[in-house]
Amino acid sequence: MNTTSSMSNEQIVSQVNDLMHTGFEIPRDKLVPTATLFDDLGMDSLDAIDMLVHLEEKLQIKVEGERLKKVRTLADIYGLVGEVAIPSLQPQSEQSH
Amino acid sequence: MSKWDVLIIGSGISSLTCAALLAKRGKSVCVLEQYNKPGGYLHCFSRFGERFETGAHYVGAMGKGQPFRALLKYLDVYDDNLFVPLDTEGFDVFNFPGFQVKFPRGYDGVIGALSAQFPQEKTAIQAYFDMIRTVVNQFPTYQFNAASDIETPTEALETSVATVVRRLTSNLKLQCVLFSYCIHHGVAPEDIPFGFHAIVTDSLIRGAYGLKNGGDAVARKFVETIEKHGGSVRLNTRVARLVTRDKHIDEVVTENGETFAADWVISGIHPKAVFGLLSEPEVLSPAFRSRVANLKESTGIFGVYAACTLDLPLNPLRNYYYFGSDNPAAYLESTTPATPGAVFVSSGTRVLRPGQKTIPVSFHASSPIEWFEPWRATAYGARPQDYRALKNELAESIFALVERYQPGLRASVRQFVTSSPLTNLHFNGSEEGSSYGIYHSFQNTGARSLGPRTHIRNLLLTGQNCLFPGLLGSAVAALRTSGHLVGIKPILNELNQEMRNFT
Repeated sequence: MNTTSSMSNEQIVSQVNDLMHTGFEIPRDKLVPTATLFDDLGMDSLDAIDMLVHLEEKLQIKVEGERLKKVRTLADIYGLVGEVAIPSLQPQSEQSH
Repeated sequence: MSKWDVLIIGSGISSLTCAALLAKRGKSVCVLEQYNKPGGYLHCFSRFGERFETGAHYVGAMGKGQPFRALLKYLDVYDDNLFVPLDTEGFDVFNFPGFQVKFPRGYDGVIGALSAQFPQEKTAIQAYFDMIRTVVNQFPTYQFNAASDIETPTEALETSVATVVRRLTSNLKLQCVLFSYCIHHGVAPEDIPFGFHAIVTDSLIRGAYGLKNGGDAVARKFVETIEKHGGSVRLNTRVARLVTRDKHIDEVVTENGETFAADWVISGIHPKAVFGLLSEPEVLSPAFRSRVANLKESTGIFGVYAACTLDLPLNPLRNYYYFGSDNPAAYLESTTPATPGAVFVSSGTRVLRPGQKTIPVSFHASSPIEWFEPWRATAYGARPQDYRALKNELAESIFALVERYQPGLRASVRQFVTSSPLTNLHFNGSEEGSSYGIYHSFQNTGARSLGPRTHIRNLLLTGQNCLFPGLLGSAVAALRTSGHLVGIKPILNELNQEMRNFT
């Protein structure tokens, strides 16, 4: 699997969707950007941590646990992975750390 | 089928703490232990007429009004006959090539001792221990402060002790001393969150105690208390299967076919082991199964247990640390059987008996289980000669390292036995023979820690794998776990009152 350093936005969407499908057995037709993790995808707070660890391991990225608190939808996940993968997408305030 | 409010699998100190606390609060509690005595790493064993500890070498935060003593008193488990204060003039003695540092009781003493050894680093030393004192106050389940935010401080969990120390000092020898307590959690300085290292350090500096009559006596006292409150501790009872339906444990089945039911099941055993008992493992997501399967374990530990003559200049009220190097990048872990890393030495007899002719001394060093891989499938007690030869080689290399600092050590050893990571695996079911369970790096702490809640609705986790290793870490993990059943805030408030009773 490609790591995020060499991935386009389309590849990020595709790979995140693959991991949500294989890791959590969520049907592919439910994996749309507006899908909320808890209501639409049937996940809970424990699943969210598993998802974080799963994405980190499979995509070889590192996400601060605190950032998970702001995630509501699948689009938020794509954005989060994208920010970690492509530093230029990160907000200025976070780049300055 | 017998029915209980709470069934607890395993009887290490975390399980016993849950059992005592919940029984005291009116729950009917039953502990199921596979072995013929309770205690897990509280176990002692006897050889050559001497008692040796397997895991409970000493404990911190045991001074009057300090957290661990308050917790034991709250549980009706504390007894003056169980614990003895270690030498206040120097409870831990660190030996490096060319220098030695003793830690006396209390922050002022430790800061003074280190400042005398490293006079150019006085400011850094003061700043480091100031940070420790600040950080530990932010952990509500260590300081029993229900009024503080229950969330643990993020920064303390996302900065390593290596980062903190290297910001303060470039003195490599001082770095080595400050990293030494990594021995007690098994995590490298670069990987251990500063907050956890701070709690270990604070607890030992403020109140390091030995176990006067061994870990077995502590376990017995726990069982006495649990039974006094109507609970039960069943020995020789190995859980074979957890029968689940709709992510709920309906039945706990033992190896001999006995069945139990409970509103809640608490597991004090390794997460890999307990999830392996589920009758329907497929109810867990593939991502979670993969996460548990890939959990990194802390390193295996090799132990040497020797009866030494009394002319050995070893104070039983002190612990000794011996290091082969003062390079902070490579001084903790053993790299080959011939080159042990840090060696931790303590005595299982803190108070000598009249007429005692030898003293039990244990030596522990890290030892990857890979060294013992060829014999993993062999049975305890029937392992072949080449396994025993490797163990003897390791023992002699450990003796040789200590001999550099303690001439005459080898000659004082009358008899000795050894334990390998395979021994830990046999007695405690610890994955990879580790003594400290899963590797408590950033990857497994804070938001990423396992438990207490699980995907099985009535299964909670406790124990050193759940929060943090050691007697204190495991007992504190039990507070969080029990808190899920009876509410954490009332427990913390009562514990806080218990601490205040001494101040």
